[in-house]
This record gives sequence, C-alpha cells and structure tokens, in this order.
Amino acid sequence: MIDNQAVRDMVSRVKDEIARMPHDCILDFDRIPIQDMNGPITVFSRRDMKDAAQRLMKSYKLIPERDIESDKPGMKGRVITILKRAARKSLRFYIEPICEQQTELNHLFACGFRQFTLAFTDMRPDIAKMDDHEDRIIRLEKLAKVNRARQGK
Amino acid sequence: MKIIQMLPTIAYGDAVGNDCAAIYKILKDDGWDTAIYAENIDYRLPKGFAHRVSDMPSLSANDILIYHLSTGTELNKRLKDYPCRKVIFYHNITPPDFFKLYDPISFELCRSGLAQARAIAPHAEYCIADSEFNRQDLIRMGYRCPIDVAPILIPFEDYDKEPDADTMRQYSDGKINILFTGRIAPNKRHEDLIRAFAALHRDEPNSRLILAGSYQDGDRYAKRLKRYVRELELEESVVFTGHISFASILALYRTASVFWCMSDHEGFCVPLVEAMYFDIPIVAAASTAIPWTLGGSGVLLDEKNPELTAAVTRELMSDEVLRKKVVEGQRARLADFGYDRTADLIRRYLRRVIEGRVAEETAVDMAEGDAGVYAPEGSGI
Repeated sequence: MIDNQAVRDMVSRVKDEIARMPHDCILDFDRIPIQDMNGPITVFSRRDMKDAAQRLMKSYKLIPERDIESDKPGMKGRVITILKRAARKSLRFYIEPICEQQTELNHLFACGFRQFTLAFTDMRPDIAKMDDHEDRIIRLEKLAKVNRARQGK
Repeated sequence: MKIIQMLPTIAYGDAVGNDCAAIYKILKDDGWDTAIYAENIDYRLPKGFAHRVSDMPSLSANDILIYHLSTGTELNKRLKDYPCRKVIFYHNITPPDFFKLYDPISFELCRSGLAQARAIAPHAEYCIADSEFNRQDLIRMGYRCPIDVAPILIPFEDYDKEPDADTMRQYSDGKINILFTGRIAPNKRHEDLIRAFAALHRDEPNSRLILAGSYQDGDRYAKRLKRYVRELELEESVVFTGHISFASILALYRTASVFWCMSDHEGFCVPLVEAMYFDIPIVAAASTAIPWTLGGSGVLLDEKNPELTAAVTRELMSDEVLRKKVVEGQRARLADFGYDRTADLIRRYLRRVIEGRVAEETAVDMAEGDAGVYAPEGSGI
C-alpha cells in the first residue's frame, strides 16, 4: 500500500491557503473563439486591442513646438536654428489651434476606442458562440448539399 | 486451434501496437499457432509482422479471435460474422462530444465506435480491459461476459535508450520544466494545463510548460490553444513540440521537473507510467482511469483549480522531503506495471480462455477480490 498521507496533508493545507488568498482572474479558455476549418476568422486579439488603446491614450496629444536644431556645424548652424525658431514662433498663432483641434479629435477617438475595446472584451464569449453557430450552419449546409447530390436533385 | 489477433490499425510504437506485439510473443512462446491481422499496417513495422485482414485464413468454431477495440471501424461491424470464439481487448473509446467543436472525423469515429462496441457485446465470450475504468465502461455498454483487468504492456527497456542530445541541451537551462506528453486532443484538456501554468508562471517566471504531442496542420483545437497562450502572454514559456522523435521524448522526460495531467478522459494514460519510470513527481486531476493508474501515488487533485495545481507544484519544487516521498510512492506503483508481471497476468487470462475456464475462474477472482489486483488503495474504485 502506498502511504501518501504527507501528500494529502500538503494538498489540504494548500487548499486552505489558496482559499484565503486573493487571485488574479486568469482568462478563461471558453473566451477564445474557435477558428473556422476553412481558414482563420479575423478576430481582433484582446491583447492587441488593449495595446493599441494604450498607445493611443499615450500619443493622442499633438505638440506645436519641438526642440529645433540644425545639422549644419558652427556659426551657420546656430543662425539657421535661430531663424527656424523665429519662424515657428511667428506661425504659432496659426499652428496651435490646428493642433488643439486635432488633439481633441484624437482624444475622442482614443477614448472611444478604449471603450470599444472594453465592450468587445465583454462580448467575446458571445462572439465565440456566434462563431460556433456559424460553423455548424456551414457544416449543415455542406451536409444538405451532399444529401441533395446523393438524391440526384 | 488458431489464436488470431485482429485490429483496425497497427502502428509502430503506440500502446495498442505494443500490447499486440507482446501478446503475440506470449502466444508464440507458449507454442500456439498465432498471427496478427490489421487493415492498416505501419510501414515501420518489420515485414511479415502483421498481415492484411483480407489475407486472414478462415476460422472455425474452435479458433480464438482476439480483437483490439479502440475506435469506430468497419471491422467492428464484421466481427460478429467470424464463426469463432471472440475475446475483446478493450483499450477505450473516447466519448465523441470532446471532438464535436473541433474534429468531425474523430467525432464520427468515436460516435460510431461506441455504437459498434455496444453491438459487439452479445458476441464477446470474454474481455480484458486496460484498467478498472475500462472494465466499468464495458459493463456500462452492456457487456455481460467475464471481464478481467490487465494493464497495457509497456516495454520499459526502450526508455533506457539514449535521449536526444540537442533536446537535452535545450531544456537543461535551469528552468523549471513542467511536462505533459500526449497528442493534442480536446479530451486531454491542454487548456487546463495552460491555465494552471499561467498561475504558476506568475510566481515562477523561470518556468516552462512543455506540451509534447503531435497535431495536424490546421487542427482547430491546437490553433485555439495557441491563441489562448498568446492571450495569456505566455508565448515565450509554453512549448508545443508537435511530432518529435522517441529520443526527444526521452530527453523531455529526463529534463522534466514535474509532470502534469489534467485530462478529462483517459482509458489508461501510459504517460503517467512513463513519468513514474523517470522519477518525475506527478500532479494530476482525478478523472476516468487516472486515479486507478496512479494507484494512490503522485499528487491526485479532486478539483481543477489552476491556483491549487500551481501551489501544489511549488510545494513539490521547494520541499525535497515531500518530493522524495511522492517519487517513492510512484516507484512502488510502477512495480505493478512491470512487463513480466503484466505478461504473466495476460498469459494466465489467455490460458483461461483457451482451456475454457473463464467463467469459473473470473467468478472466483471476483469473490476473492483478486480482480482488483491493480486496484489502488483509496482510489474509490
């Protein structure tokens, strides 16, 4: 007879410990859509969408002024830099409202995309189910076609 | 009297093929006129080892046909037409529902296999099942003939062969290797292994899950598993080996830290015995034949909680005394699957059939509790 009392004790202790501990929720396999047999269905990856939403939230803001330098050496380079800065400053009245407008638009888009990503993540089990239904319909259609062919219709 | 073995497909190195070869040797050694017939014969098997079913000689009422039942096939339907005594070696048929979403061919093979297995029941004189679970499966399917249990014959000397050097190097990099071997199939519940690994990897980033098993290109279940791994951001730490050589499998066993099994359906589960052979502590979820095969050894979990699997694995990694105890228990269980011991058991069972003593002796065994020679303590079986 195999004496595994020590193992049973350990499992029992570990069960108690994990019951008391908070845990991250691990994505359930059922939320992963099934791919069609005839080729992959284009479904956005939850992670890819989350990454894109994060990148958008970081980079939606347009900045009208940046550090201006010249790659020309010496006095010539310094003069060119001063002239560029002056030109940029003199055009600021024109560029800044455009940047603000674009920033606002980008921000709205980034927020909207983030909301969409969250909503999409919640919908994934339903999408997976729809994929399954679609797959079944395709198979049934194929079966019906074969049956019709057999019956000579 | 002829004793013929028949099966749909005889493959090189698989469990049923090995069993078939071992039974052939037992019968041959005992001086019987015996042969193996199959519809599909693996080209890697020695020429003349197995013959086509179409070449099978005619059988008489005295002859014995040993049939290996493991899938749906036309042979199952034809079995009743052979005018001889019929002995069934039952290796289990996976319930078709596992394949419903992924593989219509496997679904159909298993569905028809189970229906055909039920139809064979009245024609079987005697059955040998790989495990107590398989014995119960036969009873559930309406088999009323005597049924004995004998584990799959495993040629352990093959495991002492040289492992693949490249694979040894690749996985001897100091990482914790969690191993599961077995083809990628929905009943093996690879998703539960991945999910448990996500819990383990969170606290043990120096760990790796190796899923050693073959799958076809375009396999929907494999695709879905890979997507799951991507979603969990574990691409760097979960390895799908695909089909690999036997030497590579040996290397994986030799470099494994812990063996996991989360299958929902196993008729025997040879990889558990392989893990025992390589002294790898096993953490497995209790289902179907797994408690029987472990026989009280390893760490058997009664629930599939990924946090529990991960925490138990961490205990095994950190507590050397516990690990040793688990491995010792597994060694004790491994002795039950010794080749000679199992071969003797099968020889004893086959002699009963040949000498027509099946009904009496199986009844005596049952009365004496000997039918459970391999029944594990505390397994509830």
